Amino acid sequence: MFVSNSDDLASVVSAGNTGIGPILMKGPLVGDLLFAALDRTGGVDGADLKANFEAAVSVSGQLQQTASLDLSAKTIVFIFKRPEPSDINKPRNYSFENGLDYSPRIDKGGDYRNSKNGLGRVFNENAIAVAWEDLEPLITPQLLKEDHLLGIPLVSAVRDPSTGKADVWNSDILKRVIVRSVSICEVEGKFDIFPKQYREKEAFDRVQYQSFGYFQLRHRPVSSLQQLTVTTASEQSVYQVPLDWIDIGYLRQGQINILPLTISIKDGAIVPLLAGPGGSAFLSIFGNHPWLASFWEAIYTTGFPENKLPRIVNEYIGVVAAMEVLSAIGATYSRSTSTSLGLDGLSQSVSGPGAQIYVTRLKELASKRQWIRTRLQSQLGVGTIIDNV
Amino acid sequence: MKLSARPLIEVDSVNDFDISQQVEFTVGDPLTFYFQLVNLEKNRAQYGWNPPGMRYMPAVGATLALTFLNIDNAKQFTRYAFQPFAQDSSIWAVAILSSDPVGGTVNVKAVLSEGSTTTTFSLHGALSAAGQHVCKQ
Repeated sequence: MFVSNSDDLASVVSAGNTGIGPILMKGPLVGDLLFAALDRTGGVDGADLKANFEAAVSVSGQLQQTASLDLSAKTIVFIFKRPEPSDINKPRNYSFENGLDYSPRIDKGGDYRNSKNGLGRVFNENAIAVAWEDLEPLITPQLLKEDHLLGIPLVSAVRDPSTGKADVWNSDILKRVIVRSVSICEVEGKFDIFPKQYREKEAFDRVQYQSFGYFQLRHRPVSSLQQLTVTTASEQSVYQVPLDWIDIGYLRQGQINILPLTISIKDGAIVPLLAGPGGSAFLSIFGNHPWLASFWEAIYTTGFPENKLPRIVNEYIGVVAAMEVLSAIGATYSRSTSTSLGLDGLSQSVSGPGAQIYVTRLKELASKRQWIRTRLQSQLGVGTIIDNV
Repeated sequence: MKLSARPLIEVDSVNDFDISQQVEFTVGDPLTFYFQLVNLEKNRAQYGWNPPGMRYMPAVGATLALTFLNIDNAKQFTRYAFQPFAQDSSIWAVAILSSDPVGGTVNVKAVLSEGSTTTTFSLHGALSAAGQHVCKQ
């Protein structure tokens, strides 16, 4: 769906259309459906004059007026719906024209051709150069053993009674534990570690909109923003906010501000300011409402780019994985806490911690886990919610 | 059959290699990524096999396409693997160029085609590339 721009509205007047005949306008193609023709004369919401025009565009670049009605003194916003293509895998046509997204909506997952990064790194927020590199791949099983499980035999204390063999936590199992620990850390810390791209609906809040379109995304840390649109409930993009107007100063913490202070140029065409008529009229129409659920749609990416993790995040994952391993291995020591052997006048007794064997280490790791988590949440802006009430 | 693969390191011949959970290298270095196809439904871990899985030799003429996954479609690429040793067709290799956009922890999706039969499997974190790309975060 798209909205006709202001030049086309002017052509209605200049062409002197007062009756049946074509109205010239850029944009519409044969087959586009007329969704609405909103009378906005004097900046006030009026009637839908859709009945005075053809239901579907019969000639590209024109809309046929079918009723003999003098519309020359009116300001009308035309809204069209372009049918979805049958092949959704067809490459997206980025034919922006005057800030309007004329292309059909398709699944944009993994599409970064239009993307705006933050000011700098995600961790060590907005750092643009570092002398001490601290990004690394996900911790490996070998590093987990060396850094967190040193000296601990990764073998079950209980042997399988049928085979007489003890289970061994080999590197394959440790790798699975690490992968699971990533998920545990993401849920526990409420932040994303590996990159994830989200499509998310946000409410229109007039107070926030008047504060330069301020609103917050729900997932953190945000590494880049791909798209911000006004999207209908039928998942049609009505208006695409140029990325040039979206401030990224607080992107890491999920904050977005729309700052239309500069001219935006897309594909060589100057995009008109938001305050202008045309496509942005949609915004002004809904601007009369104080709050609208699911008005904006943002596509953005969270997590640490390129699957490279800060060391402290790897430490967090390693601690969680080590706790999982120690907890499972400790349980195999639960058979007894003491044994005694007596023969005639001689006796020997041995007592041990049993299943409590790694409790001290687990407590240390639990304390460290909480320390890292809270500081990461603070650094990644997870613990802060800012909104108006 | 549950097809998977084991990354191999220090590969010299069919009798001289080591098994790993991932291949570690530095971003920007060219690499030949060796791996061995295994059937995880044979020699299972629960019966004490370590590492689990029996090596799998595909049919003659089989092809194996590896896709190096990236959240950015433009940085995702597919390359066909080759069999470096005629004596052991379970061992495959693929060349990773210094210009390939791989970094950090890389997941790989593989599609083995044997005649009209295709089998798919994934290698989670098969490559572990340390160092930096010359790209903005």
